[in-house]
Amino acid sequence: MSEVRDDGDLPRDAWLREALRHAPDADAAPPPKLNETILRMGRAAVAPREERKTAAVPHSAPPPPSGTVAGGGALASLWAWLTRPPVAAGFAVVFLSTVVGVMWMGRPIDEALPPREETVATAPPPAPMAADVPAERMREAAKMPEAAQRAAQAPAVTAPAPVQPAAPQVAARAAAPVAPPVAASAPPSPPAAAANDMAARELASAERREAAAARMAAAAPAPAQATAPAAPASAIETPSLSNLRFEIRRKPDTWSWQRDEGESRPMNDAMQDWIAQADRTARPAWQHGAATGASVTTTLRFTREGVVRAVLRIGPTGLQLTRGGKTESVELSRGQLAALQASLDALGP
Amino acid sequence: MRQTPEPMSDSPDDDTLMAAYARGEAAAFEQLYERHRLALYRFVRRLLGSANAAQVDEVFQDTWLRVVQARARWQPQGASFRTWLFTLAHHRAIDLLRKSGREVALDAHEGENGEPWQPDADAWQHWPAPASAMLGGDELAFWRRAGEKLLACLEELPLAQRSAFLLHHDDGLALAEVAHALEVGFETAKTRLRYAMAKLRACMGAYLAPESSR
Repeated sequence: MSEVRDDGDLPRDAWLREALRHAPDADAAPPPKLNETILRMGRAAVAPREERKTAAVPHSAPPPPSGTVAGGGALASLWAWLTRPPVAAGFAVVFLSTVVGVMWMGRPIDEALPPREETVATAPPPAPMAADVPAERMREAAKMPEAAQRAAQAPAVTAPAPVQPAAPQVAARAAAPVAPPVAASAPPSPPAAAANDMAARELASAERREAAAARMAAAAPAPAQATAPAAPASAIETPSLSNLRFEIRRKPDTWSWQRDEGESRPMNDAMQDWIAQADRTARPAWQHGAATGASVTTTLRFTREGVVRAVLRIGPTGLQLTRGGKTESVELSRGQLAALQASLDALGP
Repeated sequence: MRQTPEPMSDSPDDDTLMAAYARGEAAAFEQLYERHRLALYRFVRRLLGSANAAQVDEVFQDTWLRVVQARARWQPQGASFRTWLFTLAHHRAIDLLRKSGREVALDAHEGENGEPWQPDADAWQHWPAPASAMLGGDELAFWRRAGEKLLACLEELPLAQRSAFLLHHDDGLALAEVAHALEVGFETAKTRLRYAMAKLRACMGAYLAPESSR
């Protein structure tokens, strides 16, 4: 039946072939619709670009707005350009960005960003460390431009003032406004003038802060007055209270809080709201260091897993938060403090 | 019975048409399609069998889609366009069967030892002569029943043997082209074909005995 041919091919079986030819599906053909689809696909692949687009999506593009056709080819082509997917997507992105930008306008960036995570240690000693203040001022001065440092230190040389041994530079800065300006002898060059401006601003700021510290010291008991006046540094970008607030918000179930010597209470929404209120109130004005000699009217302790993680003291002139071995303080108005106190009292004794 | 369009002597061959299509002549594609659509559709249909009849159109269309996509890089590397076309369809059929969870044995004679069984030549001598130009009513009925049975027998063949038989007997490819289309060696293709023919003869001979047909 199947002799091998010279080329190695096998001869076809005539009977099987005949049976194949008469099989019921011998006349099977692709449906006309399938023929059309394949032929259209084949034509579209080699059609010119514009024709291909029209063939592929004959009705996908929206019609131009009424009037543009009559208005001429320019408007029609502009509309056609705008309805292209990449262009439309680009405009959508710009529009969305504008909306989001308007929504966030005027809000502090800190609200939008998660706070920096800090390692929380056990509660530090509550007493403010006055000796840290000059050291902090020294670090701050080291960050200043050299010219500004010279300008800031110059009055101390030209016009000595009564100086406390513990904080000679602080005293020198405090005396600077009353000393004759260095620029009086000769007009300063522009960089020197800028340095002088910076120094003057710094000194004015220091004056304001020290006046605030003096007010707190006036309300403090006598032993605190013996220490050097506090000299808070520049405002903190992300205060510890903000960090504490977001840390509590992540896992409120693990936190508890205690007011003065009262009983420990689990963290609830009301307390979180109060922390948020305090954070919003005090956020722009937190300073490193303690409020020297400030008396304390209320102490809040925040505990997680049995360990006190933060202590917030409310005084007659501001707040002081100790967290992770660091102490930060803020001066608030009487109205702000009264509002915070009232909200806190509403949570119970 | 069926008509497979063959290129006329004055019409361009497949390679020329494919090159023209790659240059952007849509009419060349239409000619190619018209020339091969019936044979390819039948091949796909018989290869997939009745169990996968619903996927025949999908495989057929996808095969042509690949022709369209590959038009620019297609080169007649030792094989005709027709062989390449059936190779594409064969690949798509295997993909589909694998995707549907069917086991596709590409080793056609796995578990089979020795030479395939050959039916006794006497079993065929009472059958009507094949390829008669004029078939009478009885003979036509006989071959139609034979065709029905052959399709059923085909479905019992492993895919590799089935494709070898269809390409060789139905689509008229030479054994070397069958080997090329199935991407196997010549001897492998030959063995698959021999097994396929032997099994089909056995299947047909047992069912469609000459006594019962007359």
